[in-house]
Amino acid sequence: MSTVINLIYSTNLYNTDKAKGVFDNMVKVTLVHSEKCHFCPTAQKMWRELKEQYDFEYEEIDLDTPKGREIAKEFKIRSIPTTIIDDKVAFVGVPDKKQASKVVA
Amino acid sequence: MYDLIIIGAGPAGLTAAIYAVRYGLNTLVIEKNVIPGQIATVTTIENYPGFTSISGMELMQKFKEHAEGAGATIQNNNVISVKEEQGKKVITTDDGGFETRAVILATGANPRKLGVEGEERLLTKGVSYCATCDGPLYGDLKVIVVGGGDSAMTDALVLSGIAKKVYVVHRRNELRACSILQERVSKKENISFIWDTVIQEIQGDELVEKVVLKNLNTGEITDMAIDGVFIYVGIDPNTSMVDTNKTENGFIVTDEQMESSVKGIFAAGDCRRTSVWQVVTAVSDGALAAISAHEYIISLDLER
Repeated sequence: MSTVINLIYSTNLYNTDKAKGVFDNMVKVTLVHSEKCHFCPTAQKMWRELKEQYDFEYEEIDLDTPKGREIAKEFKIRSIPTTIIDDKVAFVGVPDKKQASKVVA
Repeated sequence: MYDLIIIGAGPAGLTAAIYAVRYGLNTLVIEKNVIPGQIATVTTIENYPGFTSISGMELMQKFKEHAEGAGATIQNNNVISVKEEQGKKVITTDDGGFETRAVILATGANPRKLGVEGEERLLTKGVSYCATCDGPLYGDLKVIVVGGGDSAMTDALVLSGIAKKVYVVHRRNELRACSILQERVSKKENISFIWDTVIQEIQGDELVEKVVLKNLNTGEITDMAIDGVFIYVGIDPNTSMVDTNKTENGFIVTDEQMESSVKGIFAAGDCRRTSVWQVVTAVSDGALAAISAHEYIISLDLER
C-alpha cells in the first residue's frame, strides 16, 4: 500500500527527546505485531534495520500469543503494528524512520 | 535509464511487471511496503478466478513470487514525484532519483475518511479501516462498521467472529454489497443494522467511547456507547506525486489504453478513474498498461 495510509496509521505519540532516559540506560523497543497485519512486516523490517545500526534492546511480540494479548490489554492497544518504547506507546502504525532513528540513536 | 518504471506492487503493478519483463523491457518496480496492495488487508477473496478462497496476503505473496520469478525487480522505496523532462520521465524517491522512458502508476488507493469530528484524533484508538489488522483487539467488545458495500460486509463478518456485537451503520436502507455477502451477514446473530443513519461525531477521551448518530429520515440525534468504529466508505487514490488530468477526487483519467494526459505515463488499478475496484480489473489494467507502454517505447525508438 501507499504513502497516505502509512501517514494515516503512523501516529507518533512519543516525545523522542525523552527517549534516552535520565541515566542513559539502553532503550527498549517492543514491537507488537501479528501475522494477519499487512503493515507489520514493514515495521519489522524498519526496526530490524535500525537494530543493525544502533545498540538497543529489541523484542517482537505476536499479538496472537498470551503475552501479546496481555500487553495489548495493558497498553490499551487498538491498532497494530504498535511500538512500545520503554514503557510507553511510542508509535502506532509503521513509524517514520527518521523519528524512529532519533529514539534509538 | 530504465525503459519502464512501475510505481506500486499491488495486483495492477505486478501484472504490468510480468508483461513488461516478458516484452524484454528494462523494468523496475518501486513499492513502499514490504507487503503491498490494499487487497492484502482482506481476510478472504472469493471472486478472483483460480482461487476458490484465498487471503489477500497470500494472493499478494503469489503475485509477488510470480513477478519475481518472471524476472521483475522490486525495490522498496517511497516515490515523491514523477515528472516529464525533455522526453524522459524523472522519478524522485526518498533515496535518490531514477530516469525512465515510460511510467506506469499503479499506486492504488487508501480508505476514504468519514470526515467527522473525532475520527482523526481517535485513529488507532478505536477508529480503524482494517478489521483484518485491528479486529483481534476487539474481542468481547462492541463495534460499528460504517458502509454498505462489499468491503464493509466482508469486514463485518470478520468482526462478528471476534467482537461481542457488530452494528452496521449505513446511510441508505439497503446494501450495495453482493447478495452472497448480504445473505451471510443476515445469518449472523450478533450483527444488527442501523439504516438511514450517519455518524456525526466520534467521541472518547483516551479511546473511542461513543458515537453521535443522526437518522437521515427523522433527523433524530442519538448517542451510542461503542468501543470501535471501522470505516468503509470508499477510497481515495494515491496520486499526489504526479501532475496529469485527474477527477475531482484525484483518480487519474486515462484512455482505453491506460494512457494518462501525459504521453508515456500510464495508470492502472485503483488509482485510475474506473467504475469498479476489484483485483481482477486491476490485473486487467496492469496488462493493458504494460502492452501500451511497450508500444509507446517502440514508437520512441522509431522516431529516432
